[in-house]
Amino acid sequence: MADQKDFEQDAMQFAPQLYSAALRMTRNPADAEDLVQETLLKAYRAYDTFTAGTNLKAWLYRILTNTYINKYRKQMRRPTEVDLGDVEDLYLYRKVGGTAEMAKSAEDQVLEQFVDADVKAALDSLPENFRLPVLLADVEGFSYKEIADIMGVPIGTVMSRLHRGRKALQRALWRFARERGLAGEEDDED
Amino acid sequence: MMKTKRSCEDAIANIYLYLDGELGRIHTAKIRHHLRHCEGCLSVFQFEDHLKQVVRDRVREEPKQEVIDRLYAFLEDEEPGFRQ
Repeated sequence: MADQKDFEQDAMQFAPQLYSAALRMTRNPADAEDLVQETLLKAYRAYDTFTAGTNLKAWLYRILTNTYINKYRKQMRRPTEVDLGDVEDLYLYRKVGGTAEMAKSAEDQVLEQFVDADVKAALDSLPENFRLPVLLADVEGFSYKEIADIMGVPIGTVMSRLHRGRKALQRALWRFARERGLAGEEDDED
Repeated sequence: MMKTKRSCEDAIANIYLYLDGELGRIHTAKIRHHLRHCEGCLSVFQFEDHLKQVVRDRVREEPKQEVIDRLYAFLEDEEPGFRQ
């Protein structure tokens, strides 16, 4: 059992990270701020149900994720379960390698050319059921097991969504970078 | 040759589990060994690892101090005594 007195010291250090994640969930600063406020208020009120010494960060992200889903999923017009179609494995590696006779340093340079806006736009373009696992794994650094607990889905579901979500992220990243005129001149449709 | 090809297939099939640190110890060691001897797979692994790092670094967005200040004010307002 955790003591509410300790909440400020223990939990508030995660506020900036929660906000960053909330921004990628809601894709809008005003909603992100509301979401973090509501998350931390719920967490504070429920802090005596948290077992001190266990994974506080994952516990906070579970509340964040549930709050987001309950509050914003209802507002969303489009269905939450969207499929992505087929994307080739190692999509970006093949694209980047396909632009020239590239040395490793050149591949790395392509990656370094992606700006914040490219990566955010690519992540934001993913449907929610793929966006959340990619966000939780690749940005927040949670393990598959932690993501399964946070999202309340089986670990196999996390793995398959993460796999497909990452491929779709690579495709979107390629598209956004191309639109800015980066990463080669090869002309193709996907 | 066959052995090498199978090792490549195994490495690529498990690339994300490996990079995510979700493979068992023995399987991880096996792949690490393969990467020491296979430049092709090593190049793919380094690329995907670098991409993960780029995604992580570019997506993080720290809130402005005023957002944090409003957050504290909100919590103190809802729950007087929140601030110790």
